[in-house]
Formats: sequence, structure tokens, C-alpha cells
Amino acid sequence: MKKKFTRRGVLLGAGAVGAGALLAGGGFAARASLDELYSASGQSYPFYGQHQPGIITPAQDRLHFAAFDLVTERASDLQALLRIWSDAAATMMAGRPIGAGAAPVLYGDNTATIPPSSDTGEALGLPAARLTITFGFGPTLFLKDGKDRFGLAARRPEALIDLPPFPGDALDPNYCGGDLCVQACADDPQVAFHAVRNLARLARGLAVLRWTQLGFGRTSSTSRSQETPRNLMGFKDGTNNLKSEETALMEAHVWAGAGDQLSWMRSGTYLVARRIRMALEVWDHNLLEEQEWVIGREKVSGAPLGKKQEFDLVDLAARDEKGNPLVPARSHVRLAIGEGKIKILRRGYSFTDGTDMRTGQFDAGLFFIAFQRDPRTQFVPLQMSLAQHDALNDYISHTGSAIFACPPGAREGGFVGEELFASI
Amino acid sequence: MRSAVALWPLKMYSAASMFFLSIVIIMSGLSACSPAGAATPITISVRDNYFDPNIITSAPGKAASLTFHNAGAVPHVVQIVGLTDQTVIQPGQSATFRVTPQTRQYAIVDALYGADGMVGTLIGGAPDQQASTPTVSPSVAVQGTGAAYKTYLLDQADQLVASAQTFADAIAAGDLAQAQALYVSTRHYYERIAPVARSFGTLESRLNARERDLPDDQWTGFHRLEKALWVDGATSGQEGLARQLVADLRELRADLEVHALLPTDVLDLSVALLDQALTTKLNGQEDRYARTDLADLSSNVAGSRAAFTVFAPFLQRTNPALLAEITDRYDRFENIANTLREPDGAYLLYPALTPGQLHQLSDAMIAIGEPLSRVASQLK
Repeated sequence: MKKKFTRRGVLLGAGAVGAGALLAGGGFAARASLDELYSASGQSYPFYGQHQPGIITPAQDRLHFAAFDLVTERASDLQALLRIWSDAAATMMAGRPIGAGAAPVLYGDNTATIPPSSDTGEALGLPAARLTITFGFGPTLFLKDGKDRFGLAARRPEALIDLPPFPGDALDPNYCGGDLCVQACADDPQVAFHAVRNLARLARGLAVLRWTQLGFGRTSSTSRSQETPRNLMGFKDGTNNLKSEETALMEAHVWAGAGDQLSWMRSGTYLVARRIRMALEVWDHNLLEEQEWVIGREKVSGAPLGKKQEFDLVDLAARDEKGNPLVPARSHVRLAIGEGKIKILRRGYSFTDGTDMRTGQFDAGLFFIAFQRDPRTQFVPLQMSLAQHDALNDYISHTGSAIFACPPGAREGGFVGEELFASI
Repeated sequence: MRSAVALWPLKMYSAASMFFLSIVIIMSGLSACSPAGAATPITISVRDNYFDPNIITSAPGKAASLTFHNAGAVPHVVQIVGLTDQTVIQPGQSATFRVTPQTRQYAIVDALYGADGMVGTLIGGAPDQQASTPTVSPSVAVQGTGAAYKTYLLDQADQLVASAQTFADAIAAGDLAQAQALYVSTRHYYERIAPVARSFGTLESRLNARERDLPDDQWTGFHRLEKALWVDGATSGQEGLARQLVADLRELRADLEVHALLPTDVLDLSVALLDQALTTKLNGQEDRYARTDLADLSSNVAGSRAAFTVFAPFLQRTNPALLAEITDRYDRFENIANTLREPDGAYLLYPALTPGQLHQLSDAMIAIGEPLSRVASQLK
């Protein structure tokens, strides 16, 4: 224990603070005990199954989203990465540290030869926290700058389009695109961060981070068991979201089916992410009447204008005594429900990235995530309509954008996207 | 982000049309209770820079005596348009007008500060009343803000149309430098009232769409001409677009004529103008080629202040501390904006603004917005 106060000794000691007094007198040889702490509590979800987790899973409280770019050009590397990632995701979702764990492996008594632990360790002592990890493939995985890097161009799903420009887009290239994505959701932000960090570490030499986004509050309910949360504007948004219990609607609107072109995407889905900045300072000094008019709902109750309760059906035909629509023509709720025809599964999070250093205003808003069967008939027409007419556009701007194909869930012993490579 | 008065169309089309009717009823009701007989003169305080009261009702066809007393610290030049000439009133001095209004409204305007919202309205609108006494009631004074603001609005719209005509003339004459200068000065009038264009169908997008807001073959208005003048450096071929701009602005002026305004509409507009400044202008998204965003930003805030100013007499009675606070915040903004001018008085171009200066402008405008939004609670 002479090394206790060296830099390394202090760091390792600090990492074990959550483990109580386990290190006391025990030196470093406490690996098993430390790992056991991992899964002590917290609900966990299985990684393997028909669908990937984190899609119809009841939305957790926190998000860490990451887009990656591949730096290898070998399809075999890509497959290897997806297998490593899938194994790690299954382990972390179960609440366990990856690889040989978080504790050091001893080589005799010579502590100088201790390599860094395979798990980075910051989730030690934390519960599984309902962690889910969801993977997606961006358009550039199939074709980038006209180049078919992995021989996958012919297997690109037609629904995995390059999103068109929308009116009013204010996209920052630093928040757009990516070859691969990782969506980590958990009830504990450190658990979500730990997942992305360890996947990034496992990818080193093969893939690099392109951009990441932390989300701190879910803005959607994806299950009937959940209350509709409020966005940073203080409104309940997404009341009419699809709910995971609505199995038939999920099949119709979320999951790619047998008729949808490529078999490797069957039971998969398409993820669209949009980083939507809100002009919070401007919103804050606008009259409540204006705010409710813009959204189309009452602020406190969440009821559609002209109704009493949050879950009362939005009556688009209702008019006041002067003949004006009760739910205004340009209000968000009227446009977002697409006159009732278009449905998507929203699973977004509030975010803040501090302040806009130019103006001192909040850089905050909604990190919108939606899952759907085909963005060409769902997100694109919906957003086109919103971008053109939504009164909310006065208060928001889309600063980031990405689309990913999320393959079906992995079979036990397999990996996510395995079928994409089936005949290569 | 786009201009920001989404509430505007709804409100204006719904309750607002009933406004003038209701105010007349209220006014005549009050007048009927006042003592009949000889005309009691009414005194209007001329302050820096608003009229208190700014709404006066007087029986049409009967003589009324209106005294303007300059209670401020600077000279004012007062006119009841259509009834009196412009009259200079020094601080501490008064001027009395004996007028006989018809059944219509008359604008009361300060020639020096009218462009900043120093306007009022004389309503010859109670034909049945017995007394010829002009009346004003503090309890209904706030109802008059819509009418007072409309006086300002129409005046600005008139100047906007006139300025746009000279702009179109310069383009027709092929004078590029003159056309560029007139683009900037015409925007000055437009940006003081811009959100009102929202109320009239496609008018706003015809007037002010930016590149790629619309397909190229449908793109018209200010910014299309801006691109021609600054990017192509040419006036030729733009004559038709310039003529259409003038025609569209005339249409706006005509539409405004028949619109009534509620107090909440005016307050909303004041906030919406601030929002336009805080979003498109502060981000340099308005004048992408001329880079005169700061000039537009300052016009937005000037327009916001003008709309706020019509509430001044009302707030003077109901919440003078709030009036003082908001006035001070506008002053502070103007002091900052005034440091961002070239020696010739023109505002700096957007690329010349430092992050620190944008930060100051943002802070100053946000500081106006918070107390300004509290005026709403006074209107109930």
C-alpha cells in the first residue's frame, strides 16, 4: 500500500469510493466484489430480441446520443465492431461492467504492470437504471462522397433517404449526419454516459465520435403508464404520441414490415434526429395567450384549446362563436397531428449545451428523436408542413439533423445488423 | 426564424372588429353622465414623449376646447391633423384649440416624436350626446391605445409607401448607389411595423421572404431586390419587382386602414417587434447581402417602443414604476445602439459587430422584454 498516494493509487482509490470500504486492507485484488456491486439494483431490459431496445421501451429520464464516423474501410472491421458493440451493450444493459470488469487485473505483485481496466468504471455501484442501447446506420455507411466503402451500397434501404432541406433550416454541420449512431437512454445520466464512452473506447481505431448530444429530460411518453412530460417551453407536447401498448399501430407506423423492401431491415425502424433550439428568452416574455395559441393547448392542463382534459381529442373542426377555429390553423398541435393521418413514435429529450457565447442566450431546446416505418411518408411530409406553417417556428430553429436505419434486434449470440452482411 | 406575431391574425379577425363600436358606446355612456351645458375645457398634458390622455372623445358637430400643456422638459410640436396647424409649445407653456370635430377620428401627433409613438386620437364619435364636453376617463383610457396606435401605424405605412416609391424610382433610373441607400431607409419604416403584414394572407411572404423561403420563381419583395442590388450590383431587370413591391405595400396600407386594434394587439406587437430583433436580426439572418441587420434591429426596437408608448398615459396612472422601468430599459438599449454607428450616423454592418457587442444588444433587448410582458397584467 505504499503507492496509495501516487497519482494512480489516488485515482483507483477514488474510483472505489462508491464501493465503500472494500479496498481497505484488501489491496487491489477485489475485482469480483466490485463487479457484483454493478447489478445490485435497478430494473434492466434485455438487449436481444425481435426489436432493438430503446424504441418502444418506456422512455427513460436521460439520453446520451452519439454519432460516429468509421475510420476503417474494411467491411470485416465494421462487422467486428458491431459484434463487439453488441456484446458490450448486452453486458452494460444487464448492469455489468464490460470485458474483464472495472477492477485491475493483477500480474503477480508488481502493480506497475497493471493495464487500464477494460471497463472505465464510472458506473460502478450504480444500478442498471433501465439502460437501453440502440444502434443505427446512417446513409453514409452505404455511400459516402460517391464511394461504396463497404460494398453495401446495393443494400441501402430506399427509406434511408438523405433528408431534404426544409424551409427555415439553420443546420450546423457539427450536429449533422454520421455513419453510425448510438442512442443510450437510462434513468441515470452517468449510466448513459458510461455506455457511450465505453462504446467509443471499444471503437478506437475503427470509428470516431462525430457529434454527441446529452438530453436531460424526456419529452415524450411512449407508454400509457407514463405521464406526458413538459418540454422547455413548459407545455405538454406529444400527448398524441404512439404508445408501445398499441401493437397494431406499432406494426403499421413504426416497424419495417415484410413488404418493405430489404429483408435485413424487417422489424427494424428508421430514426430521425433533429436538434431544435428554442429561443427561450423570447418565449419567456410572450403573453400566455400567445403561447397557448402557438401550441394549441392550455399550458397548465395540457387540454387542447376548447377542451377540458389533456387526453380529450383535438377537435380540428371546432369553432368559436365568431367562426374562428378553436385550434388555430397554424398552431403546432393542429399541424403536428397531420390532420390525424401521419403517426410517428416520438422519443425526444430536452437539452442544454450552456450558452450561445455570441449572444449570451441559452443554447437549449428539444433533441427530437422519432421512429417510423418510412421517413418518406412520415417525418418528411410532417416536417415540411410544420416548417412552412407552424407558428412555433418563430421560437425554434433546427440546428442539427440526422437519419439512421435501426436494424431489428440481435439474436442471442449474434449482433445488431448481422443480416446486412449475410450474403457478402 | 421568422417574424413573430403569430397571435396577430387570430385576434385581429376575431374580437378586434368590435372594438370601435364598443369604445364609442362606453364613451357616450360616460358623457351622458357628465354635466350638460357649457363646454368644459379639457387639458391634455404634453409629456416627454406622450400625450396624457391620448384618447379624447368629443361630440361631433359641436365646438370643443382642447388645451395642450407642455409638462415636459423639451419643446413639442402639436397638431390635430385635419383640425389644426402644427403648433410649437415650449416647456411650461400651453396652447388652446377650439375645434368642431365631425363623426370621425382625428390623429393627434407630435411632429417631433410622432414617429416614436407620440400620438393620440380625437374621436368625434358620440353623435347623440347632449354635452359638447370632450371626455376622457382613466378607466377606459387603456381601451384607446388601439386607436392611438393605429394613428401611428397608418402614418408609418404612408411613409413606407412613399419611401418605397422613391426606391422604385431609383431602380427605374438605374441609380445603384441611390437604390442601395433607399433600400436601407425604406426598411426603416417597414421594420417598425413589420409583424402587421402577417395578418394579410401571403402579403408578408410576398414582401419579405428570404432566399429559399420560397421557390425561386415565386420569390419577390425586399430581399430579392436586396440580392440584385448587392450581389449582382445591378438595377436593370428589377423594375418590375420594384413596382410590385410598391403595389404590395399599398395593399398593406389599405388593409391596415380597415383594421381595428385591441390593446392586447398593440402590446403583442410591441413584444413581437422585440422578438424579430432578437431572432433574425441579432443572428444576421435578415439582410444577408446588404448586411444592414443592425439598422433593421434598431428599427424593430424603435417600433416596439412606439407601440409601448401608447400605454404610457395609462401606466402613468396605474403603475408609474413599471412605466419608468420600461422607459429606462428602452433608453439603455438606445444608448448601446448609438455606440454602434459610423461617424455619419449609419449603423455598423453586421460583420463589424463583435460577439461582445451582440451580447450587449441581446442583454439589453431581453431586459426590455420581461417588464414589457408584465404590462399585460395591467390590462385586465
